[in-house]
Amino acid sequence: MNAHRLPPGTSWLLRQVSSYRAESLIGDLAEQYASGRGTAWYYRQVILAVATCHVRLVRLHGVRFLGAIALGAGGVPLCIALIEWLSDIFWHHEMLIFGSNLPENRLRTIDLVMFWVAWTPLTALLYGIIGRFVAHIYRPHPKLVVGSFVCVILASRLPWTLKLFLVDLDDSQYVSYPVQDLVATFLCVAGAWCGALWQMSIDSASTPRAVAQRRTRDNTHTISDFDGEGR
Amino acid sequence: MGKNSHLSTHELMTLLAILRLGKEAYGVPISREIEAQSGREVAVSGIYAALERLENRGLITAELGEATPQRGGRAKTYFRVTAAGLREIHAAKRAFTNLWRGVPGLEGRSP
Repeated sequence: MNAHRLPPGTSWLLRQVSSYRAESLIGDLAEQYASGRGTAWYYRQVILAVATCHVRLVRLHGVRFLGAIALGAGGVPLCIALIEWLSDIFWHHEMLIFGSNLPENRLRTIDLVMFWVAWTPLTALLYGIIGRFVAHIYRPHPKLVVGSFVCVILASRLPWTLKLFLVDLDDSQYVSYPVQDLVATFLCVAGAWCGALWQMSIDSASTPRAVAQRRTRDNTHTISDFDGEGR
Repeated sequence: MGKNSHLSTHELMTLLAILRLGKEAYGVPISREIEAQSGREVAVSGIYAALERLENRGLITAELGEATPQRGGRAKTYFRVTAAGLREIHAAKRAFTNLWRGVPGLEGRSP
């Protein structure tokens, strides 16, 4: 076994969750992996590292961490309810305009267009806003807390996608539905991450170091502008 | 004493493992030493969680060591017990010994 070929994604995950000497921890795991410990052992260590980090953060900043997770977990069903409500209003108006005897293929086309033009982008946007606030509430480790929020999103969407796969597999008409749902899930997750990145960029711009760097840059500009005028 | 001033069993075992290993005390040998002496498997991340708490309390110091190809070029972190750490170990031993002495049926056996 080669330490350079650790199971994919695990080093990245460990860097995200371990705030204390992450590289040494990864090195220790890599050394043991290279000395013959199995892949199952390695994955167990990674899972334990993630769990340890969560327990540590709950112990250190319990209320804020749990508050951020609760916001994420509560926000998902609210978003789903909001989208369903908007969808009901839309279909109600659609029926009023076109009547209830629209052909099925036209109904399906409208459904598809609305899914991609309205419902999915709106859901991704809402998840982005929630992701931003989740990262805002728990600033010590925003990536970890948004990672947990992403897990909530996946837990809320993937069972439905799986159900679509199982139900629609027999009917060739609907076979693209689960694939579309998977793509929409990816967009929702991307929305949540973008929201978190947005918050992190705001936070990093307001750190004392960033403010000092900006001031130095501004001063340099002023001096160079002055020099240019003097020549 | 503060709320978390006492060493947990895991922290005490980590400190003792560092002492036993001397200059070779980094994550892998520490976890192996605890496994060998206590007979139970320990997670490497659990060792690091204990090391972080001990370092924050000034009971150990850390120093970056060499990187090896086995580790994918990542440096080892070596740990040493400080004087404060030694004092904590002795205090824990005293507390355990005192508690041990008063228990009927355990007297005469070393802790």
